[in-house]
Amino acid sequence: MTPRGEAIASEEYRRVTDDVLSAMGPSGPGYRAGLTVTAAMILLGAVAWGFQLIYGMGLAGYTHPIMWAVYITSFVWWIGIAHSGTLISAILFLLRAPFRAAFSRSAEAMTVIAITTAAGFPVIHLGRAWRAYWVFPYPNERQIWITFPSPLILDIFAVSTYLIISMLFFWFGLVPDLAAVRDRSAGWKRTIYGVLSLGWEGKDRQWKHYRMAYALLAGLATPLVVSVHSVVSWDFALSILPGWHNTLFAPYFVAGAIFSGLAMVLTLLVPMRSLLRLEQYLTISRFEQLAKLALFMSLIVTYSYAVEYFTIWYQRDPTEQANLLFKVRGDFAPLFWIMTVCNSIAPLAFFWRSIRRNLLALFVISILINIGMWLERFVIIAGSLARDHVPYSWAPDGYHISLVEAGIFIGSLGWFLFWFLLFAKRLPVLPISELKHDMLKEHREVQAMRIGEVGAARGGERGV
Amino acid sequence: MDRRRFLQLASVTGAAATVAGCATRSHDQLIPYLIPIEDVIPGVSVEYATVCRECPAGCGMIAHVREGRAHKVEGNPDHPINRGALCIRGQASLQGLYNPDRIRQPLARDPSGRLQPIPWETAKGSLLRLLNQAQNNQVAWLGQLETGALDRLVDQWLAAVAPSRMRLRYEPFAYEPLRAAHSQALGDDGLPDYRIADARMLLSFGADFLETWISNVEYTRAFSAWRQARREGKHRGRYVFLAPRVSLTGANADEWIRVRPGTEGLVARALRHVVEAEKAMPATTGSEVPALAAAAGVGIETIERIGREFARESPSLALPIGFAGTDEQATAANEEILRLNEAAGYLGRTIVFGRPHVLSAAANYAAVLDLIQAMREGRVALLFIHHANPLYTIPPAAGFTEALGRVPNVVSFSSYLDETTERASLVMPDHTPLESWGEYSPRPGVTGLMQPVVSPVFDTRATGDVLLASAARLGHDLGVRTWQEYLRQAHPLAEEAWRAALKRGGIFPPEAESPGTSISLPTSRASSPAPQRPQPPSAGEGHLFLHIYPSLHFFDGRTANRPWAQEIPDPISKAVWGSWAEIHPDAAARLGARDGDVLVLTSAQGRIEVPAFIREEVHPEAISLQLGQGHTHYGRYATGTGVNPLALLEGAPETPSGALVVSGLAVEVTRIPIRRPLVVLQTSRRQVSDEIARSVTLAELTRLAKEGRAEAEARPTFYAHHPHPEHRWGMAIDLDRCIGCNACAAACYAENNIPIVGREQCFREREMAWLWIENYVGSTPPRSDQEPERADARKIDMRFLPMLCQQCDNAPCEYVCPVYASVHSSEGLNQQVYNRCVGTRYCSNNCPYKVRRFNWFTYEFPEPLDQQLNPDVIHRTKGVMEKCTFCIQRIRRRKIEAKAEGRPLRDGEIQTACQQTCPAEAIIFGDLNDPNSRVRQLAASPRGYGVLAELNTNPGIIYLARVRAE
Repeated sequence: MTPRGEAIASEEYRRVTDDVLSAMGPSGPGYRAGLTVTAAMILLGAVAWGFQLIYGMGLAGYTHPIMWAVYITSFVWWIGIAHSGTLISAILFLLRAPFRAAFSRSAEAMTVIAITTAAGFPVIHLGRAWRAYWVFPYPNERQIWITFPSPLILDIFAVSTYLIISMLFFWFGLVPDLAAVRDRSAGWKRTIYGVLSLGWEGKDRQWKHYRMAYALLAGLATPLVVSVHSVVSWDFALSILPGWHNTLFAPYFVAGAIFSGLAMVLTLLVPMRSLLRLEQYLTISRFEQLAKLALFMSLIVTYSYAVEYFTIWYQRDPTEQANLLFKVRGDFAPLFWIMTVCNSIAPLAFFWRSIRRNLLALFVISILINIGMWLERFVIIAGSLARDHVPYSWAPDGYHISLVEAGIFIGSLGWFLFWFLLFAKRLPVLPISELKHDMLKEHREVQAMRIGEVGAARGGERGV
Repeated sequence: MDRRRFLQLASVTGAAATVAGCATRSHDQLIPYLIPIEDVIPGVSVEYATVCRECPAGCGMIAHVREGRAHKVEGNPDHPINRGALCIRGQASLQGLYNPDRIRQPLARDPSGRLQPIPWETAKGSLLRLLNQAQNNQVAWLGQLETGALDRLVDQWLAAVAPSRMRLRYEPFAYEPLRAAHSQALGDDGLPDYRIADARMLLSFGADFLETWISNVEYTRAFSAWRQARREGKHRGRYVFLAPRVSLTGANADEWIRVRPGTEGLVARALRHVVEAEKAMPATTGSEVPALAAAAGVGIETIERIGREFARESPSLALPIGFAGTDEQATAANEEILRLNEAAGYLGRTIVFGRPHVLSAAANYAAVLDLIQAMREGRVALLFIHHANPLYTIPPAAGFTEALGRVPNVVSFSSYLDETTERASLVMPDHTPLESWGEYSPRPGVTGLMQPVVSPVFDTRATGDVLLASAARLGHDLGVRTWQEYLRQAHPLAEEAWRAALKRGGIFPPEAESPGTSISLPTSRASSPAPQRPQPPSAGEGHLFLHIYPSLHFFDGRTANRPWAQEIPDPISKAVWGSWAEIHPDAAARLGARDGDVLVLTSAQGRIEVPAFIREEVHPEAISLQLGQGHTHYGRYATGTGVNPLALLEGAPETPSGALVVSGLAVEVTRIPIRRPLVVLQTSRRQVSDEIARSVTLAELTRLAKEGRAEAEARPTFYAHHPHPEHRWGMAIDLDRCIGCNACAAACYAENNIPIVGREQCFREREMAWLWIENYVGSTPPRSDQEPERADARKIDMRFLPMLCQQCDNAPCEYVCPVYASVHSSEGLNQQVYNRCVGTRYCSNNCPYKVRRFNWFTYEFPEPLDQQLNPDVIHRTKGVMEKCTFCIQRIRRRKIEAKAEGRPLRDGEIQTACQQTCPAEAIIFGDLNDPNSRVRQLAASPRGYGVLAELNTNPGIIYLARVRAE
C-alpha cells in the first residue's frame, strides 16, 4: 500500500517483482510429484491412443448412430475453456476492468494450453488419423482441395487463427516480465529468457510500442471470443440433425464457453493462490468479481436452455420433441439432470456473498460447473445422435464410455495440467508490469482525492 | 474328345480334381490359370448354371465365377421354380462352399476316440472293410431327399453292397400331416400346387409359404403376383392369417385371427359350416360352430364374417397348417382345411393335384423312429449319414443319441462337423452342392441340373464317386466308373442337347403349365372327419403352450453356420446371433418379465434357458421359439449360439401321418433373475409419425389413381440442382411387394464384400449391412382396440421398408465431409471415396437415414471365405466410411459393355444385386432420365413418395406405399 501523500517507493514496486518471481523459485517435492503424475496421465493417454490407432476406432465406445461422443465433446469443452482466458485478458482489458490483472496472465496461459489440448482431439477422433493432414488446404498433384463449406474445415481455420492470435497475445504480453526474469537469471536461463524477451530494455519507446501492440492484439482477440466458438458450434448447427440444427447454438455455445472457462480459471487459481503464496494479489475480492461474472454467465446459459426448450415445444416438430424428451427421461436422463443441476442450480449459490468469498466453495462449485459443461456438450452431441429420424437406427442402450476414451481424456487433462504446472513455475504467473501500473493508478487516484480534500479544507484556494 | 471340350471340362471340374495333390492348392494361386483357358477372359466372370440345395425347394441358380472362385450366386432366370430370384438361404450358400469350418479331408476315429485326418485311400479301404463286416446285418442309410440319378444310385448301391438295408429319405420338414390328410380324403398323398396367384381371398392356417414351406421363392413370387392383381383392381380379396403366432408370412397378411394353439382344425371346421350355409349346401352339424369357436378362442362373429367372405370371394384358397402347427391332430386339422376348400368349390382351381412336389417322397418321422428302434436293438451294423443331422433335428427324447451308441460304425458324408458327424467313426466328406454334379427335380417335369462351378476347395470327393468306387472294388459293376458318367447316362440326350441343358440349368417343361387334374371327393367316403378333441382350456398355471416354428434363415438348422444367416437380423424380431422366446405381454406380466429377461422352459424331457421377446402377435397362452439355433457342434458361427427348442419335445409321432409332434406341449415357464440382453438391431418399430413407411388402403388407392399424388414434389432451395446430362440412376421400391425376407440384404453382403462383425459388435449396432429391412407398424389401431372384447381378430399393418443409401440429390452428407470423400456423380449417385476418407464420421451424423456404416476395425474374412470376395469391389480397411453404391461396379460393367458394343444401355440391363435376387420383385433400378424406363414410370406412381422428403434431401429412391385392405 502506498504511504500517504508520497510517491510509490521503489521498494513497493520491487516487492511486486519479488513476489511474482519468487513463485518461480526452486520447486518442492509437491511440485515434482505433480509433474510426475500429470506426465503419467499423458503417457496413459498416449498408450490408449496407440491402441486405438493400431486396432481401430472400435475400441472407443461408439455405437451406431452415436458416431461422435467423448472426443468431440472434449474438443468443444477444451476450446470453450480457452475462451474465457481470452475474455479475461482481452475483453476485460478493453473494458478496463480493475480486477483483471490478477488473473489475466494465468488466463492467457490457460487459453493457449487449452487450445493445444483441444487441437489433439480432432486428430484423435479420426478413423484414419495418420491422414489428418488432408484437412489442410495444401497444393497437391491430385488437385484436390478441402471442402471449404464443411463446418469441420471452418473449425480448422477458426481454431488455427485462435491459436496463433492467442499465442502471440500471450507472448507479447509476457515480454516485459520475461525481461524481468532475465535480469534476475544467470547462465542458460538468462539466454533463454533473453531470447524470449526480444531484447526488452524498458525504454519509453518500447513501452509505447508494447502498449499499442497489446491493445491491437486485444482488439484482434476480442472478436475471436465470439467467433471461434460460434464456428465450433456450427459443427452442430449447420447439420440437419434434430437437437443440433438450432440457430441458437452460436450464442448458446459462446455463453457456455465463457462460463466453463471462468470455472476453469477458478479451479486453477484458487489452489495456485495458496501454493504460490500470492494472496496479496489474488485477493478474495478479485475472486469475488470472477464469481459474479460466472454467476452472470450461468444465468445466460440457463436462459439459453430455456430458449432451446421453448423453441422445441413451440415448433411442434415431433422428431425434435421426441429427441428432447428422450434426453430428459430416456437413457441420457441422469446426465441431463446432473448437467442441469451443475450449470443452472449450483452457481446460484454465488448470489450469497459469503459463498462468493469462500475459496473452498468457489473451488467446489467451479469443478461442478466444469463437469456440468462437459456433460452439456455430451448430451447435445451424443444425445441428439442417439435418436433422430429413423426409429430402426436409434441407439438402444445409451452410450458406454470405453477405457480407451477415458484414458485419452485423462491424458488430455494430464497434458493441460502438466503444461500449466510448467507455466506456474517457469513463467511469471502475474503480469508484473500491469500490477505495477495498477498500483500507480490507484496511488494517483488516492493522491487526487487527498489533494481534493486538502483543497476543499483550504476553502478552495487552489481548486486543483 | 476334342481340345475345346477338354478345356471346357477342365474349366468346369478343374483338372485338379483328378490329381489329388493339386486339388487343395489351385485356389491358393493368385493367378489360378497358369495356362489361360481360351474362353475365359480375365476380369469377366463365367456363369455356371446349377441348382440351389439349401432346402428341398430346388431353385435354379447361376454361379458367377472369376478365375476359379465363386463370388456371387443368383437365381436362374430360366428355371420355372424361381425365375431368377433367390432367397437368403440361396444367397448364403456361398458361405457353405467357403465355410472355414468345413471338413477338409476324410476323418477316422482313432483308438483314443478322436477324429483324425486320413488320406482318401485309407478312407475308401475303411469303407470296404465296414461293408464287408456288415455282411448279414442291416445297413441303414439316412440321407436327405435326393431325386433322379443320385437317388437311383444310392438305391442301386445299397442293393449291391448290402443285402439287408434300410433307406430313409429324411427331411425334417416333410409335411406328413398334409400328405396324410390328402391321402385320407382323396387317395392322393402328393403335395399339390397351391395357386396363390389365382386366388382372391387367402386364408392361411399357418403355412409359412414366404419362409420355408415347400418352396418359398416360388410362393413368394405367386404372392407378389396376388398383391399386384389386387392393386390393379382385379380382385379385392384379403389375406387372413389364422394361427397362434404371426410369422413373417403372417405379418404380410391383412388380418390375424388369433387361434389357440392346436385349434386350427376346429376353426377350419367351423368355417366350413359357415361356407356350407352360405352356399346353401346341406349343412353338416352346423350347430357345433359356437362350440368350435369357443374352443378356439375365436368369436362367432369373426368365424361367420371370415367364412362368408371366403365363400363369396371365388376362387379363394385356404392354405394348410405348417410345421409349427403339427400337433397330435394335425392330419385331421389339415383334412378339415382341405374340406373347407372343397366345400367352397376351390379344389382343382386354386389347389391343383397331379404334379406332386418331390417332398411327397420324403420319409415320415415315424420311419425314423423305426430306424431308431432298429438301432437300439442292435440290428443296424452300419449307418450312413448323407446330408442329414438327426442328432440336431430329432428331439433328444426320441433316443437317437443312445441308439447311435449301439451302432458299431457310422459313416458320414457331411461337409461339416455337425452333431451327428461328430459321432461318426468314418467321415468321407462330400463336395458341397456348388462343387457337385447332380440333378434335382422338385416337381415332375422340372429337372434342374447341377454342375461344379469351382474345383473342389478341399480334399473332398463326390459321394457318388465314392459309392461307385466301393461297389467296383466289391465286384459289383454298376455300369460306369464315375458319378459324372452316371449322371450323364441317366439323361440320354445328344451331346449338344446335354450341354445346352447344362447351360440352361436343367430340363424344363414348356411354358404352358399342365392344368393338373381336378379331383372331387368320392361321395362314398365318410361325410366328414370326426371333430377333433380340443386342446385343454389352458396350458395350466405357470405353463405355456410351446410353439416351434421353422427359420427363414436357418431352415431346420442346416444353414446356421453361414455367418450371413446369423448376422442378418431375423425378419420379425430383428435379433441376431441368438435365440429368443416370444411371449404375449399378458404372459410377460404374469412372469414379471421384460425384454431380455431369461426364461426357463422346462418339460419332462428337458430344460432350456432363453431370453424373452415380448410381442402382441403371439397367443397369450403360447411361447414361441425358432428352430435352427442351439447347435452344440456346427462350426464357429453356430456352435453355442442360441437354443434348440426340440430338446423339450417328447419326440412322439402324430397318427396317422407319423409326423413329429411339435405343437401342443405345455411347458413350465419361469423367470430367473438373469438378463441376457437380446442383440436386436431395430430399436423401435413405431414411427414417430406414420410417414417413413407409408401405407394406403385400397379405397385410398383408387382415389389416388384418379387424383394423382397430393404432395408437391418441388421444394424451394437456393442450391442449384445437380445436372444429370446423361443418366440419372434411381430406384423404386414397392413396399406392397416387399415381404421382408432379407434376400436383398444377403445379396448385398455377397456382392459388396461386406464383413461380418460378430455378436459383440452387433450389440453396439456396428453391423456393416448396407441394406436392411426396417419393420414398422402403422398407427392405425388394430381391431381389438376398437372393439376391446374382440382380441381374436387384429388388423395387421406391418410395413417392411428396405433401407439403403437414398443417393440424395441434395445430400446432407456431402457438404459436411471435410475432405471431399463424399461427392456427387454426374449420374446422380452419391459416391463415397474410400481412399480419401479420413474418418471424421460427420457424414453419418448428418445422414437422416443413418445408412452409412463405419469400419470400426479392419475386419477379417477367415479363409476360405476370402475366396468369396467380389474382385470388382474394393476391400475397406479400418477408419473408412462405406455405404450402398447402387452396385456401381455393375453399372460400370454394363456401361463398358454397351460402349464396346456401340449401343445404348437398355432398361433393365443393369440390375443391382438386391434387385436381382428379390423374389417379390420389389426393387426396380434404372435410369430416371430415360422416359421409357420402368423406374421412371414407377416413380410417377400415385403411391410414390420419398422417405423423409420433407428434409429436402431429394432422395433418388422412390418408395411406393404399401396397400392394405382397409
